[in-house]
Amino acid sequence: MDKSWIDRYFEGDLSPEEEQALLEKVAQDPELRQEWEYQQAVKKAIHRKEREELKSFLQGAEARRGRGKIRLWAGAAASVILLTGIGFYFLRDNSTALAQAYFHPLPNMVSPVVRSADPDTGEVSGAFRAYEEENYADAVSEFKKLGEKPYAALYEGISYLALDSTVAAQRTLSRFSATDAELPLETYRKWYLGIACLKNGEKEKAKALFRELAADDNPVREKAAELLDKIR
Amino acid sequence: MNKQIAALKNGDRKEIEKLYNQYRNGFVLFLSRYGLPQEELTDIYQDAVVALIENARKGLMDHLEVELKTYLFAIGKFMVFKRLKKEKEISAEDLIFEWYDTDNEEAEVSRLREALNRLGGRCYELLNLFYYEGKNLDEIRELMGYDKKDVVKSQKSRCLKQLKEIIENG
Repeated sequence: MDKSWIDRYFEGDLSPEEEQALLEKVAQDPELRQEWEYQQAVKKAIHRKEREELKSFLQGAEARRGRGKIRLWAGAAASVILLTGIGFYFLRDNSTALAQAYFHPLPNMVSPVVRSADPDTGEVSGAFRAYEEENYADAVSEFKKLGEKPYAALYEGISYLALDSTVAAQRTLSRFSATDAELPLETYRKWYLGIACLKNGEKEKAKALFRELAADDNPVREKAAELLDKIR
Repeated sequence: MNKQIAALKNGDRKEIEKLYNQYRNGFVLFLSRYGLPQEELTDIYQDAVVALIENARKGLMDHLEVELKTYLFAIGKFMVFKRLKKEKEISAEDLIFEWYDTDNEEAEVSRLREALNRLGGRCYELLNLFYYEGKNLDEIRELMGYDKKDVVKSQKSRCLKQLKEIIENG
């Protein structure tokens, strides 16, 4: 019996007899017990984190319920005032519209470079071909095949965004963090993650990302500042 | 699978908020007969929605035989009874959901909880899929685009080690 039994335990793959045998072993073998207890604690900690985050979102949802009525009233007022020529629609939540207006797929900056250097160019250029042809569903599955490369994850995330799969986009773009050497990638990762958050209504998260981008020198600095100004 | 459940599984925040608003008043009304104050019922409702989504993400609702609303309200009833310390009165049929108990927190769990915030995104995703969503290594290989199950396995050990190091290095 070794540590792989612990994996199988957490996968729910052990028979009742095997589970019993493992637990007996865990009770006797200090090294195995330490490993088992550590992983139990990790499991609990992840549950706690997920629950806390969701709960705080729901508390926000509860708080928004009251405001919904005010917004409805403001909307009615706005339609009246709009007729008089004053754009009063500023009171409405504009995140989704803004996210849409500011979303443009990033041009392919990778494939031409890779073509000469990387032996498995077949898959790389296949992925970018689909991407450039705006065939984003294929692009997603092609980029997935490229494994853990940060640029592949970036373009996969952008493809998800183009498909309106906001949650998948957030997930993909949160998955990697490029190092300083790959700085343009990290900049674009933050930018598109910000757009995804905005589209999903997570304004504060989006703002934090745009604030970071507006603070240092990079290709999207001005756009980030502009967008920050417009988020309500 | 029901479309709404599929969206909840994906963690779609808009759908979650829609669900929250859809059943909130009915839920509070349904449970108001047990004499708990309104704020506490709202709090319980939030916990019930958290439990519901957790179960959806774990795939436990893929073949749900009752309506979503029935399921959610049963969770709520369980939680109210738990607060009133009347667990014994809950019948077996009411226990149609799973709740992984984290109430008895040890200091190590709290430290790990904080350390998770500093773990890399891809590591967190892997550990989350394994320990929270209950996916097995093969499913994770597929979901995260790894070549081999063994790679997932060693990656998982590496992430667990990294987490340990975050704690040890303060």
